[in-house]
Amino acid sequence: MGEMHNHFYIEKNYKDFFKKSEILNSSRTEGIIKRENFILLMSLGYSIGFKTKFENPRAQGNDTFVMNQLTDEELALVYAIAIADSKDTEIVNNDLKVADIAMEYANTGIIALKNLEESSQKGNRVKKFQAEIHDFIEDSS
Amino acid sequence: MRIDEIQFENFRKYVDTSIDFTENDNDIHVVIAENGAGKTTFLNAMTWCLYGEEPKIKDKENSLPTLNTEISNNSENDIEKASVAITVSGDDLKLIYKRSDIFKIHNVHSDYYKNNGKREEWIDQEFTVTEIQGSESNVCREREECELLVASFIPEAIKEFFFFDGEQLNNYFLMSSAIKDQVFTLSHIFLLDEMERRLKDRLKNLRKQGNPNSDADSKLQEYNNQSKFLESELKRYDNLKIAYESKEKELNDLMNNLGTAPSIKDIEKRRNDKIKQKDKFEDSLNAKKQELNDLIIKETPKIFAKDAFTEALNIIEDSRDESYIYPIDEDILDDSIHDHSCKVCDRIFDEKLINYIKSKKAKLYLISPEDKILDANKKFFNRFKDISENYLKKEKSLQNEISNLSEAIESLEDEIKEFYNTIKVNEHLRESIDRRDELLKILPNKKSELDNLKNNNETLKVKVQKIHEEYLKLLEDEDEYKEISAKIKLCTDSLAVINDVKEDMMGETRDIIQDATNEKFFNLIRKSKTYGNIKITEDYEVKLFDEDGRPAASSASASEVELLALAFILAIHSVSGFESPLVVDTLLARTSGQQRLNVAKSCLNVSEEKQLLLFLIDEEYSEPVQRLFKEKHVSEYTLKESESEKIIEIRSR
Repeated sequence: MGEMHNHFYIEKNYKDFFKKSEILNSSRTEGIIKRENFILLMSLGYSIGFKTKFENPRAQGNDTFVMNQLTDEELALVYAIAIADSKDTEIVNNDLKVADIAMEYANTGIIALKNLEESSQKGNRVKKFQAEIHDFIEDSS
Repeated sequence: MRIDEIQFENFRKYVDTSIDFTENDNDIHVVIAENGAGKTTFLNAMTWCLYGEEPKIKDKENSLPTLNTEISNNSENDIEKASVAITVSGDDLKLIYKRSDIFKIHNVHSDYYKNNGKREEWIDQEFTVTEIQGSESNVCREREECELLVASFIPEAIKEFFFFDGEQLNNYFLMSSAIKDQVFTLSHIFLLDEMERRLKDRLKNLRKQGNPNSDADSKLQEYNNQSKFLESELKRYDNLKIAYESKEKELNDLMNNLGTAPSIKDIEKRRNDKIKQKDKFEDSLNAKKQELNDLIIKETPKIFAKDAFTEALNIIEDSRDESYIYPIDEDILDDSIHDHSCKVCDRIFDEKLINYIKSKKAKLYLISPEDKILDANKKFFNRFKDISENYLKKEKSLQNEISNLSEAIESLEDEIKEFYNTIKVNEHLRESIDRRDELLKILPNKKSELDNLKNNNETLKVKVQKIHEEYLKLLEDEDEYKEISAKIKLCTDSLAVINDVKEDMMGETRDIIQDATNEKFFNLIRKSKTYGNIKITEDYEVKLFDEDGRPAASSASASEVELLALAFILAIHSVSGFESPLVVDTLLARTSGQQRLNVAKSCLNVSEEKQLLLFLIDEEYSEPVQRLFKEKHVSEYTLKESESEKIIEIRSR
C-alpha cells in the first residue's frame, strides 16, 4: 500500500477528544495507540453503516494519527472495509481511495464514540462501550 | 726448681745421650744447633716426657715413632724402648720424670712386617716419677700421682708460659683471652669459679623446691580475687532478683487491669499485612483491567468489521467466475526454479523441467499485484469474520478475574477497617498494653538469666572454697619452706661474697702482673725514659705507653717487643709461684745487632732469678752475643748430627 501510513488523517477539531477519551486512552500500548485507535474508530464507523464526509482531509492543520506502518492484520481490516464499501476488488490498487474510505468511516466512529462517552459517567465509559459491543454481537449473530 | 739433666735413650736420633745443666756462675744454658739438626726434636722430647705429647707435631697418626729407626730396623731384641728422662731439683727434693714408649720388634718375615712395612709395633707407654729426698727414693707409677708431681714442676695448663718459641713471642699479645684463662688457673680463681658454679646449681635445686612465699602469696591473691568476684556476682544476683520481682509484680497488675485486651502492636502488624495484601491485589486488578482494555482496543475492530470481511470475501469470489484460472505467482516460480524444488508441492525440478518452465514462462498466466493483495488478505478475512465468540470468552474470563479481585479487595478493606476500629477502641490503653506485652516478652529471659547466675554462683562458691583450702595447705607447709628460704638466702649471699672475692682477686692478680711486668720490663730494657708504663687490661691485653701516656707499642723495636713479652711472661711466672725454668727456642732470631745484644744481656738478668735454657741456631748466636755469654761463663752445648744423619750427639763446648 506504498506510503499509506502517511495518508490517514483525523479532523483537527477532534484533537481534544482524542486526548480526553477514556476508551481510547485505556490501552497501555502507548506509542502505537493512535494507529490502533484509528482502526477501532474506522471499524466502529463501518459497523454503524455510513461514512461521514471529510472535506479535503490532507489539508494542512489536520492531525495525522498513523505514524507507523500498519500491521498485516490492520491492513486486512482497511482492505476489507474498502472492498466491501466500493464493491470492487480493484480498489486495492488505489491507495488514496482506500484511505479516503477508511478516514470517512473513522469520522463516523469518532462521532459515535464521542456521543457514547458524553452520554455516560466518567469511569463507566469503558463498561458502556463493552455493553455496546455485546449488543452489536447479539444483533449481528 | 731447675732442670739438672736430660737423658735420651733411643728417642728418635737421640740414641744414647744426655745433657747436664750444671749450674755455673749463672743459670743460663745455650744449646746451639743448625737448622734441622735436632733442636725441635730436643724440645719436643721435653714436653713429651712431661706431658706425653709433642706440641710441634700436628699429625700424630702419621708421625714417625719415637723409637730410633736404626734400632727398629736392626735390633735383634724382641722388645725395645724409646725414653726421655728429665731430672729436676729444688730445695731438698729431686724428681726424675721418665717416659718410655715400649715397642715389640717383629722380624722381616713376620706378617706384621709384611702388612705394615715396619718392624716396630708400639705396645705400651710407661711414665714414672722418681722422688729422691735425702737418701730415700720412691718410684711413682700411678698416673694421677705422676701428673700431680708434674704439676708441682710446671702444670700442663700453663706450660706455654715455660716452654715457648721466641719467634712466636708477639703472639702472646694476640691470645689475651687464653692468657686470661691461664692466669685464672695460675691464681686459682678457677676454684672460685667452680665454687660459684656449684652454688648456682644448689640454688637452682633449692628454687625448684619452690618459693614458699610466692606460692602462698599467689594462692592468697587468687583466693582474694575470686572471693571479691563471687561477692560482686552475689550482689549482682540480688539486684537482678529485686528487679525481676518488681517487673513480675508490675506484669501481674497489668494483667489484672487489662484482662485479655489485644496487643495493639500485634493488631497494627496484622493490619499492615492486610494493607500490603490489598495493595498487591489492587496491582493485580489494575493489570487485569489493563488486559481487558487491551483486548477491547485490539479485538473489537474485527468484531465491528465482521460484515466487511464477509462482504469482501463475497466480492472477491464474485469477481472470479468458474473459468477463473488461479494465476501463478512469479516470485514463487522463480524461487522454485532457483532451488530446483516446487515451493507449493515440494516436487523436485530436474534440468529438463526447469528448461521447459523457462521456455513456457512468457506464456504462463502470472498473478497480478491486485490478486496478490487479495489472496494475501483473504486468510485474514476468513480468520476475522467470526471472532466474536472467542472475544467474549476472553472478556468473560478477565471480567471474572476482575470481579474476584474486586471482591477480595473489598473484603480486605473491611478487615482493615475492623483493625482500625479495634486500635481506636483500645488506643487509650496502648501504653499499658505495650508495657504488658514487653514484660511478657522479656521476663522469661530475665528469669533464665537469673537462674543461670544462681547456678554459676554456686559453682563459684565451691571454687573459692577449694582455693581457700589450698591456701591453708600452703600455710601448713610454710615451716618447711622457711628452711628452704634460709638456704636459698645463704646460697645467694655466698654467691655475692664469692663474686666480690673473685672480682677482688682478679683485680689484684692483674695489678700484681701489671706491676711485675712494669718492673721486669724496665729492668730488662735498661732505659726508662722512652716508655712511661705498661697497663694490662681486664682482658689481659698488654698495652705499652710512652711517657706522655700515648700508646707506644707500634713504635717499639722488635727487641723491645720481645723484652715486653719476656717481662710479661716472667711476671706471670712470679704470680704463678712456679719458679721453674724458662725454655725458649730461637729467642734472638727476630733481632739483630745491638738489639740482639740487649736481649742477650737481659737473659743474663733473668738467669739471676731462674734457670734459662736457650735454644739457638748458629746465625742468631752472633759473635757479640757469644763474647758476652763467654764472659759470663754461660754453658754452651751443640747438637751435632752424625755423618750418617742417623744420630745426634750433644757436645759441651
